[in-house]
Amino acid sequence: MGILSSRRKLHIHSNKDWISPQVIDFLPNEAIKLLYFPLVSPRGTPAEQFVQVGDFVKIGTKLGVHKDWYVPFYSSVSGKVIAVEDRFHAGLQRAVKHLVIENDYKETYEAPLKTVSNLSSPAEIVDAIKEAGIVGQGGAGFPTFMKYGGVTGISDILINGVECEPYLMTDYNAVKEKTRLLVAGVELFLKASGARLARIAIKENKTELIATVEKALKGRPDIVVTRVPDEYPMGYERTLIQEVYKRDYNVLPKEVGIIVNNTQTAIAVAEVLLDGKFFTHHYFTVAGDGINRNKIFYLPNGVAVNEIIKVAGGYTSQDITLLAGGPMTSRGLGNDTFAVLPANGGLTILKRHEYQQVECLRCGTCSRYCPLSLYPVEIMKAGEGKNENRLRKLEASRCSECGICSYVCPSHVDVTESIKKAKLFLRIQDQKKANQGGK
Amino acid sequence: MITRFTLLPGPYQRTNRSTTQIMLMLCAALVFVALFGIVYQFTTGMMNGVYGLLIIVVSLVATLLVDLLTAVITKQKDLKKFVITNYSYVTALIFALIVPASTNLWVVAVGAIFSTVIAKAVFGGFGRNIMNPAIAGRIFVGITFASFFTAATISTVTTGATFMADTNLSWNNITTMVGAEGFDWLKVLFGFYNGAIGETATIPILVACGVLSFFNVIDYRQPLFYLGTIALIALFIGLSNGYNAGEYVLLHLSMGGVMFGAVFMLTDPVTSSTTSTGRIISATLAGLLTMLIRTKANFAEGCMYSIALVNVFQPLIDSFITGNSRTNLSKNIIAVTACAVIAVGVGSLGGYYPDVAPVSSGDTTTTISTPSTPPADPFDKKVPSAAFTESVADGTVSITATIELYKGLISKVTYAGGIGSDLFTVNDAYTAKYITPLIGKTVAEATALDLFSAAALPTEDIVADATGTANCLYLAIKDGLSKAPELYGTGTSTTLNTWVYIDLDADGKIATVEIFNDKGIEGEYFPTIAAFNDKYVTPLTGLTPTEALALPAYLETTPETVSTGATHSGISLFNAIKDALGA
Repeated sequence: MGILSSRRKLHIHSNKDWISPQVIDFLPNEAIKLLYFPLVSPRGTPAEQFVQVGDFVKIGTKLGVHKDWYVPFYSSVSGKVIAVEDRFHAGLQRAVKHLVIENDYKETYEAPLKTVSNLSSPAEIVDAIKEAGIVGQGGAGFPTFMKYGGVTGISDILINGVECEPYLMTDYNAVKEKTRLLVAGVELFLKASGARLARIAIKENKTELIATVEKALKGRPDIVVTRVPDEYPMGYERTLIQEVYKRDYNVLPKEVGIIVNNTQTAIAVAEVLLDGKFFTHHYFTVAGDGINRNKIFYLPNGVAVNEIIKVAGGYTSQDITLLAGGPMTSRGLGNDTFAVLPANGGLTILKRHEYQQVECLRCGTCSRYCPLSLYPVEIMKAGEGKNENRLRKLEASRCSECGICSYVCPSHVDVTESIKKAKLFLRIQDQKKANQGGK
Repeated sequence: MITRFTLLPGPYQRTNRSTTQIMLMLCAALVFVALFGIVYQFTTGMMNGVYGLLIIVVSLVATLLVDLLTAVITKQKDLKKFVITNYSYVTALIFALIVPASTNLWVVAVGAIFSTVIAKAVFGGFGRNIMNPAIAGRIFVGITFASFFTAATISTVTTGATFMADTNLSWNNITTMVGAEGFDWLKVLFGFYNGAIGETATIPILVACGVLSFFNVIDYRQPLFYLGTIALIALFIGLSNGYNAGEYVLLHLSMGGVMFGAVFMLTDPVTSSTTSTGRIISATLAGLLTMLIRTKANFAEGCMYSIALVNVFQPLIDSFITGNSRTNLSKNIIAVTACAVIAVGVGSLGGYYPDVAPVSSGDTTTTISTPSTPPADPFDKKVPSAAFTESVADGTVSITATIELYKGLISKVTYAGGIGSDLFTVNDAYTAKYITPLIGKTVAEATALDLFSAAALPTEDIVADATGTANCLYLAIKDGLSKAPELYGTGTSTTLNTWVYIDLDADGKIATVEIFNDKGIEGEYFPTIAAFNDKYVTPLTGLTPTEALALPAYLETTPETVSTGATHSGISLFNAIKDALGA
């Protein structure tokens, strides 16, 4: 009943028309001279370090393990560990310890990890994914094995190739280049979860890509392509499941028997588990009006972003908004020296543009498009008044920070930013209560 | 070159839509609607049209000046940006469109300043006011300066106030509203009648509503539920009271600024809920309040007060809307439905008048000629003529005239019908010759005037190109005079006042005696005073006034007490009849 509830999605300009015809670029040797691997997990927990300064490494040498969940990380080049230094981390927004590896350009490989076969059990597949250190390629970097470990009652796998963020063309190119691996990876997901059907969701306007994938899927009734409308945030799990299955869940898609994975994650799983490669390289978009040449790269993890910027011709302006991701959900970074992580799909680089903000006119447009059907402006006002009770009643902590409320705001109020603050306020209150309970 | 990295909060891609754009589209719609009002003003006279424009200009200038003053006092860095993004010009425009078209210009200025300063700037400017500023200003001048709503410089055609107030219409009685020939709906719906500049043009406002909703400038939910509630309540009132329900609904939707309020004032996002549910609930409640004010308080501007009231209650309504609109959808549906049912139910019951005699639809002319309901003021008596029809070059003209009497003297002559705007061309010259001389005279005096004593139509062609209309009107006025009571009298006793109108037939004999008292026509009178009636009223019929006064019953100074418990009624009526008969 649209008259009372949120529409939950909105068509926005995708800004993807720059990339035709698509050519995949590789970084020149000078750009991958030094590679950096953070010694903390994306959540900030210190990692266990397996190599020391002075050690020689090959492609696939296990550098360490992130310990929140068990996520090993591997060297993407061969060479020598020359230092451990402080370097800016895009996700944590602060400097953390990084291993620095100097590339010797010899491209020597470690022995491959254990691969799987047709006879492997689901548990063996999940273990192999875990050992490969594969994390979700959709941007959040959630370990893939966590989604499959010991699951029951899964009926469908939903492969997310929607890429609803403007500018980014990473998934699009990965799928186009590696369609065969995508299908093989999806097959492994089906086997690992016991699901009977896999759907690959692609935006309906990407007709060429759909044709390519459908050709590769010929004679496979258990994997189908699902066309989804060109709206934002169609690539958000909740919106996607709502669109494809017309169903809602509370916290995780598992509740309704669905596992959602990114297309590149499926490709990575197939590459490691079937082809014996390592989870060290991925596609990477560099786009926006703030960079001279928009490009798609295939690059190793650990490259410093300022090297990529140089290859792409440098910035077009002195005032730049640098984003490790798309323009809707990423936050502006104050530094371009950070290293590319496995979950980074690209950079959006825009000229500085300040929107003229006026007073909120209470038009309620944000409430009519929120994918979670929340009332963003009400949350914002409750947050300004530090009204904890009302914030909880408005379910502020459910916000996914997709940015659509700020996008639609005609007064250009930073609604999303205010909600982030309100969520932080709620977390602090929770912490205070927990501390008081402990006393 | 050192690169500077922006740390502004995201998202970094945003809609092209801006609030200024929304406000400008709203202004464009307001100007479109105002055009109809202004054009009508010009049709009534050059000066009136110019005056309408002056109201808008004065409102805008006054508002901009105080806006600048506010900017200076609050030490704004960028004056231009402040004035543009404070959007007071929208308030000024709306205010100019809802004040009566003949309001004194300085009252317009005071109202506009009140809107911007007291109702808006004091609360913190745009986005923070709790009540629609234009409505607050209009209510303020309505209460404080109502006597200045008619500017001296304006001719009597634009008499000011709203159409409703102007014609003394009663929302509770369709017979007095629609008139003998019914409204000229085409004129009414396109705003060709006196009223505020912006409020009258119902159809153009609806068109603006459609366009604005399509471009998401306003939320269609608010006018839909507001007007829907009003229409449903009016429908049920119409049906339960036996009015022409369709016409009654249309009347409620097109009069008293409801359409303008629904599209331009109720939808003001600043004073609305941010949630769809909240908006629908308050729109429904506003619809109920409008109808209750109209039917119970008998007040033409119910729309304005209802919107101001729901504006004030909005935060309370909002505080009940929590969670999200998906999991609470069924709760919200129940809330909205319950609210709508209660609103329509209460409103319909509130407007049901079991005392008012039903009027059969499609038979308005007959009903009008024998009024079955009392005028609000017993001194007022309206006598409609029969309709006179005459064929003219471009069709058939049909006109009804209504003679209004006040204390036995002709106070007003109005007319309805005609084709197109020919009545307006008739207006000045004709009024001067055939209508003005009647005012202040008794019916007998008026009938005796040379103008109306002639049997034939006037040969003088006063109004070029409208002879047919002029002739019809002449005949209608004459007929109205012949139907008007010739004798009028008042009588009092210590506790009661009574008034009588005595109609004489062509031979000068008493035809009917109409009686009013403090309790209304036939209020508590006839059931208890039947015996008095038999002795003092019935025998009068068929006698000349002189014969009547000679009746033995009227030779006494006080009447005999013939009805137990109604002594005073008897005495005052006796006095009234004697007064009327000329004793």
